[in-house]
Amino acid sequence: MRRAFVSLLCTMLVLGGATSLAGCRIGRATVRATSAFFSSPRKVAKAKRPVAPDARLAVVWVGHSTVLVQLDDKVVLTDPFFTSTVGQYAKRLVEPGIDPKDLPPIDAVLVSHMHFDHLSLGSLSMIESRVRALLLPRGGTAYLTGWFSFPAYELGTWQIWEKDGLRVTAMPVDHVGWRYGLDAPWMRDSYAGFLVEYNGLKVYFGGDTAYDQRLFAEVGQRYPDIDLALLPIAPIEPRDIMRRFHLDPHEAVRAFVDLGAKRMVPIHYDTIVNSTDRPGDALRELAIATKRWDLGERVIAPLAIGERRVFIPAEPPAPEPPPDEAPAEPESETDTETETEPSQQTPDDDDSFE
Amino acid sequence: MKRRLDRSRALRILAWCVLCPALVLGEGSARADEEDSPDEEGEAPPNTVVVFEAKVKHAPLPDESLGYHQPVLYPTIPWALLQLVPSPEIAVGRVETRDAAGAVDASTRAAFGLRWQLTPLLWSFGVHPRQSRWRSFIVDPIARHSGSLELSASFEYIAGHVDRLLARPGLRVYLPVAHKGEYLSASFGTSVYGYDGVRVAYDVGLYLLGGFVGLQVTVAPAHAPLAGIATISLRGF
Repeated sequence: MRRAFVSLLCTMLVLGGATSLAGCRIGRATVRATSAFFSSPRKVAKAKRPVAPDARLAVVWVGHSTVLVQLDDKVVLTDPFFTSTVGQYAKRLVEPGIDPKDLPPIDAVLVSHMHFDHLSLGSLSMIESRVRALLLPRGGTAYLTGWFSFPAYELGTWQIWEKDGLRVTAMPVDHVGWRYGLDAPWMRDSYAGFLVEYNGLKVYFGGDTAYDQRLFAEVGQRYPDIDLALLPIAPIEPRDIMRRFHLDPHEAVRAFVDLGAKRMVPIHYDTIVNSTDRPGDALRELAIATKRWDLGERVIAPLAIGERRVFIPAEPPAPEPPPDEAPAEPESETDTETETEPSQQTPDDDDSFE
Repeated sequence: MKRRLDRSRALRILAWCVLCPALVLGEGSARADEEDSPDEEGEAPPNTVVVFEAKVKHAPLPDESLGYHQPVLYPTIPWALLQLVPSPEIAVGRVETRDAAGAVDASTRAAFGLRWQLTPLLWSFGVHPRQSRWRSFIVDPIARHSGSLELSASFEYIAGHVDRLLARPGLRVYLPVAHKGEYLSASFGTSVYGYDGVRVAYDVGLYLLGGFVGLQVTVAPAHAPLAGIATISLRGF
């Protein structure tokens, strides 16, 4: 009896010590993740009209890595995640920024890798009727199932898929391809980033990646003048582990510079508990990183979940000349006003780090 | 014996003699067809795939050779260790026992057991059509729980009133219920086992977390000692 009591006491001391010393952040993160299961996700103002003719290039951050990108009349959705949990082990902290029923037809859905927060079969079911094509990294259909009605294509690095002028190229990134852990030995390369091109617009989606300057620099050299880069900035801690798989905000800014992109929208933070980071850590670090770098005219634009941001407004239609006048009147006052209006509406400067 | 071997060898040689010229001739005629085909623009012969020029010209042409990669599953040490993890179970049944005084006891008893499960063969009707539908021993959760027919083999030791080791081959179908089977799936199966003769059992199951955790209920209506078994199924790949 006495021996049992002593061993129980020792066990409690070891566990308590582990939790309070080395595992302090881990303990807090575990408590946060567990408590999320017993609370409702935070409500957000949802984007009711995610696509509008006012933009050539616009995005809505739906949460985590899910971004709705409008390129003129084409719509692309990245890593759709609309379910309340990630693989039944983590609950989302914030509601998705778009209700799936408000989504327009989506020309291409991009899935960067096989983890539950990026390839969510339940989320794909919710948006199935709107999806025209699904693009996955090499080997991705192994986890897709055949129950979906939309076509799915696998893209190896640098491979291209194109339809009606919308071109998607798989980009090299540095991550892992497994879904369950035990499948790591045979799912070695099922991860990718993507570059979307349409009508001269270029959008880079980094998926989930560690920092490798060669990869980002090569993408930047092959595809100069990227209009927008969607880059993950978390999870940050524990850095010794996360460094091998994930960009932190400082590395994300470096990657943004390496890519030579004009604008960056940070993603993959503050939506689920997947690390020991506290909510807000990623954006705080991003603000610090932004000040360290001379970004010139480059813009980093963090969005709120559900926020729609127009980066390149649509050109206003040319005014019709009066029927009895000559058509060429380039220097009229009306023309100048209509041309400058959209640029004044561009909300690049509002919450951006420059 | 030697004559039989010689005959089979002769047949093999004969088959090669017939097949090789046929292959060479076939290849030759195919090449000849290609050479004879007209090259003039606008005169594409029937059955020729016309590839239209890409609209975007500033980058390389689209890669038309998009394929599908089939991962090759192979046994690893973590997989083998996971197969050693047993699923705990409780068996309920009645065994008639007679004590020294001759009194018969036929009350219902419960016994603890452990079950190990293997899948010699599985045909998945839920996987993507570009992926192989067949799995043997190593079965990824999505192939099993998105819908499949499984030839199962389980081995179990049940203590208590049963106190014996049972081998249970069977057939089981898995059906997806939520999130294509990853969040919830169900199974229905039947199996046979030896226990004073060949016995038949039927089972139903529900599985969560990609099938890593589940509850299986096995019933043997015609076999009182193992009338019902409830198993917490712990299973990965």
